[in-house]
Amino acid sequence: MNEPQDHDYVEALLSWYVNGTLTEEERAQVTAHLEHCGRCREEVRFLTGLQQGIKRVADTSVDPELGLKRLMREIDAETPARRRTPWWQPSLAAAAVVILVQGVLLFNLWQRDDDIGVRLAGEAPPAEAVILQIQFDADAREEEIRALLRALDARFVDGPSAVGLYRIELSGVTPGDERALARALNTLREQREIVRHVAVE
Amino acid sequence: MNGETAEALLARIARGDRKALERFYRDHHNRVYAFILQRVGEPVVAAEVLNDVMLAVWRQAAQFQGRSKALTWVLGIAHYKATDALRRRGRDAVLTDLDDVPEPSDEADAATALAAMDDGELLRLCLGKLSEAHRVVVHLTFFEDLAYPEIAEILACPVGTVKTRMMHAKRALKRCLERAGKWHEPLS
Repeated sequence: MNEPQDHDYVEALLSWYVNGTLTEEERAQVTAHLEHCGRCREEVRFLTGLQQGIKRVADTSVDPELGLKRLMREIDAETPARRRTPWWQPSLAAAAVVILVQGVLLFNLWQRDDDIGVRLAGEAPPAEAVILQIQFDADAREEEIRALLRALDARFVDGPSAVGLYRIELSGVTPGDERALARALNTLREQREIVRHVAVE
Repeated sequence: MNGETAEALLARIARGDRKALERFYRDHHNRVYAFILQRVGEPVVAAEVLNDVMLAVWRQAAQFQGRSKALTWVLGIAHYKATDALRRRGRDAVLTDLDDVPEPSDEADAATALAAMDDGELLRLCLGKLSEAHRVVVHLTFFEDLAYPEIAEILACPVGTVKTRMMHAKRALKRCLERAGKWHEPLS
């Protein structure tokens, strides 16, 4: 293996030579080449240092207990029947129930706003926009709400109403795209710590 | 870890065993989180995506056929979810493939670059300057210690693309570390 093309072939394998995942055959080829190639030996030295450095600086600090608690709570909320059907079917069904039940609930809340003469200020969103009405938990932090809106590709268009309702526009969802809407509602449903109610207008 | 393999845990999770999911989470959340974080860049978003990934593990464990390692399968899910999160945030970095961008021909001084790597901040800085597509290959190779065919499987791309991205990433890192190393003045 002294040809330039062999050098290129071996050089492309050196990262995985260093992380120890090459096949035996590849490893033997690299080892043989290293015996007479100073450039590749220097590259191995660099890559070994890089591997050690990356393992040192990688951020893996996340509290497992907090995340695990949340995960288990969400799993608890699922029905046992779900596991016998494709995962997305119950999600869509659950989203539909959320729309139906909370839509009715919030429709009434919204009406009460009208009754007491309080309306949301602001311009009306475009007719073709997908608008959700949402009520955040009293303890929700601003950064959590910001992250949620970013995840949903949404923006505030109105609120709060007298009962604390906001209207958000789902910029990334086209009207009529039920699957995208269901995904957005699912995301909201998974945010029980910060979202109390949600409904589609 | 209690010695039970990730594959064995997935088999139990597929049967609805919550204890197995808990074990799986405790054993692997750090590695999955680290992978997601270096992709999405923000801890809050990374924690969200980690939750989505573990929910997918719970829901889809029965689909794991054992054709790849369990962690490869999970990181494949994480890659998909992180990509989705980036798209929703409107970042186009995920779609940017810089493999065809020609690299400058000047060779970096590997020894200077190697010395600069001792400074974690410099290394972080240079890793952060890589394109997203290149950084993910570097992370999966040197943090996760995965083989290039496994990385290709996770990223759903040809093995040749993985090698090309690594080649570009190495050059860019070397150049960045060399420059940073030359600029860097020791504090003492």
